[in-house]
Amino acid sequence: MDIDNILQGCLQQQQSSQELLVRTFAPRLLAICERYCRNKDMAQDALQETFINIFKYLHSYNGESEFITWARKIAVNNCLRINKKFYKLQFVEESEARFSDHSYIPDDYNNLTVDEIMALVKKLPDSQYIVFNMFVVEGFSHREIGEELNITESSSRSTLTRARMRLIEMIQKMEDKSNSSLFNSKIAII
Amino acid sequence: MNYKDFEKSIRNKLSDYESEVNTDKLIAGIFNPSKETKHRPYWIGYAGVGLFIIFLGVFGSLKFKSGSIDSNDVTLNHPFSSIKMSQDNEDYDKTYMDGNASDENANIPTGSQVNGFDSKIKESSSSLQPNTVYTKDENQPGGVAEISRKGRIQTETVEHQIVSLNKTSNNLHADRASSIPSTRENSLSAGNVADVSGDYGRTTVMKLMPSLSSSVISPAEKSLSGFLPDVKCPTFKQRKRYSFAIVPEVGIFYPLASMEGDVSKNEVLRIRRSNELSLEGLQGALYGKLFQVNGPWYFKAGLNYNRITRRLTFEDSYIKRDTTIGIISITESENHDTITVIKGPIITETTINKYERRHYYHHMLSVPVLIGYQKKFDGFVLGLEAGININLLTDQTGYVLINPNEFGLIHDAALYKRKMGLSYLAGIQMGIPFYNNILALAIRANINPNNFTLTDVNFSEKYQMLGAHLMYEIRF
Repeated sequence: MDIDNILQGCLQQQQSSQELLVRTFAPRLLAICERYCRNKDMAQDALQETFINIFKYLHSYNGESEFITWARKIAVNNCLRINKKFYKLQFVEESEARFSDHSYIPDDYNNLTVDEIMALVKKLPDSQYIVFNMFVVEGFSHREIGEELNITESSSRSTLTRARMRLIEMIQKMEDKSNSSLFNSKIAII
Repeated sequence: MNYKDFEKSIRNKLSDYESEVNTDKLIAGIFNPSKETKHRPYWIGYAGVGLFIIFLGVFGSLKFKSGSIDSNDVTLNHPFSSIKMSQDNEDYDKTYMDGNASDENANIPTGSQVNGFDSKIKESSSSLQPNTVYTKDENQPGGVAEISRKGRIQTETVEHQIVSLNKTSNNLHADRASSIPSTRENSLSAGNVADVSGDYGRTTVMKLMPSLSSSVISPAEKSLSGFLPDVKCPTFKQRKRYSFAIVPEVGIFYPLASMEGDVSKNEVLRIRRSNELSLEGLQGALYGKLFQVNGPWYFKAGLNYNRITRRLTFEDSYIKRDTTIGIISITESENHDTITVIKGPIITETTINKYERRHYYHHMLSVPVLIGYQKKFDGFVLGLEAGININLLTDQTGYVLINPNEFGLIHDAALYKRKMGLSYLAGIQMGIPFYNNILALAIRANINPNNFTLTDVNFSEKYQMLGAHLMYEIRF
């Protein structure tokens, strides 16, 4: 059964179609919820609410974008709302800092696992972490981020830039550390 | 690779990532709203119960208070007569005091005198000394003051007035039969003869004047009514079994910290364990206390704030090495036909000394619920109490070591739980009565079995607290 038929069934309140929709999209939406929630229990709750909202507002889905994109936005909205009290979001309106897309990242970082990536990204401050996730992973535009977080587009942009710079800085620090330990071990061997 | 590619790889990996999910459970949750789990702030329930108890206490206390008068200070008020008795509940005897009957009887106005607006009211003062034994003479037409307890009685006697306080029946008679016309007898007896037939402990205020004035009486009686006493009759029945108090409290405590984890794998933990120090803990609380009036037991609940302070003094010295590849040496052969250039790593070492002192704080808001036993001794009060402490909210502020040579905001480090659950309280307190209230000092332990850190943090941090708390019990 393709997605259009499932959605049609959901609009007709057929529970079999609704269950099928849940089974199809739950794993991916749960991954999103886990990224925005502090723990797994809250992510599960957020996922449940996401599906309730999907069924509630399905009539407003116009099919312009992919269904998963639409569902993804609902999931992010829910998570942000549920976790609002856990995040200290501080956005500073500032002129955009310089940032180069061509900063060197060691090739090893291409092979990081999802858990390793999350461990790295979660070291960012809350506001930067949220904006980075929304922009880079979820593909929200700065306008959409601004609307969701009630900030200006430029604030979203500068926050993202700071997040990227921080990420590069962290990677460089880790590299320095591993280099020095590698060098030390080489010296020890000599 | 460049950063752009790195970001692309993050996007690809995360956006399509799928987590394992128990879809059956999820479906059950979605389609059975009754099973839907919501993050209900459970502490609202506890707070509600606490407020209810406080409300009950205040309400009960006010209700009881409205019907009670301190029976230790009983005064019979009248413009011309006052009887003050210093009570001693254990010291009853059958001494009857007859209020100077022979003198007064002569001056009691007759009914005709009253009717004719002719009553001569003479003021006389007499002082009845404690050990004077007066004989009860019920044949006297008036002027019989029958007092059922030993004590000093001072009266400014109105000649026509008879006040009888009888211990055995607790009846009080203001008998004016002899001086009141018979036609008014009923109304006057209704107004002036008040029977207080209660048991010990009940105190009744009898205002004789209003009852007189409310009756249909002659102007003569109205003129007399001005001299009738407001009588507070003591009885000793204790209807109030429980009473309520509010107890504000401040305290300091020492948090005994324990940090467990594998220090060989966790350098941050190793540094924190060896360098972190607990400073003073501060506490403030407001309790509502429901206590037995004639018993030792009490129940106490309220809202409590604790702040734990930790300090890390980070003193580190390390060598930073910068390595570049460069020419280490150039050698030339003897006949100058060969030059050998040796390249290798050139190491620059910089010794960095670092000293940093940072604090962080655990803020805890909780509802303590305690049951206690408090006993009065001669001049002081001793109490024991134990109970639970339900943590509503925990938050952290300040800076914590996030990697071996860097501090970061503790909140961003996401190390600690937001709610700590249940801990246990036990304490001993000693107080002194202060007016009607009690000023007390308590030594209390808070045993907290819960780990403060989140489950995905690879070390545990626990605090047991021992403190001294000063409290002031305001009784209603």
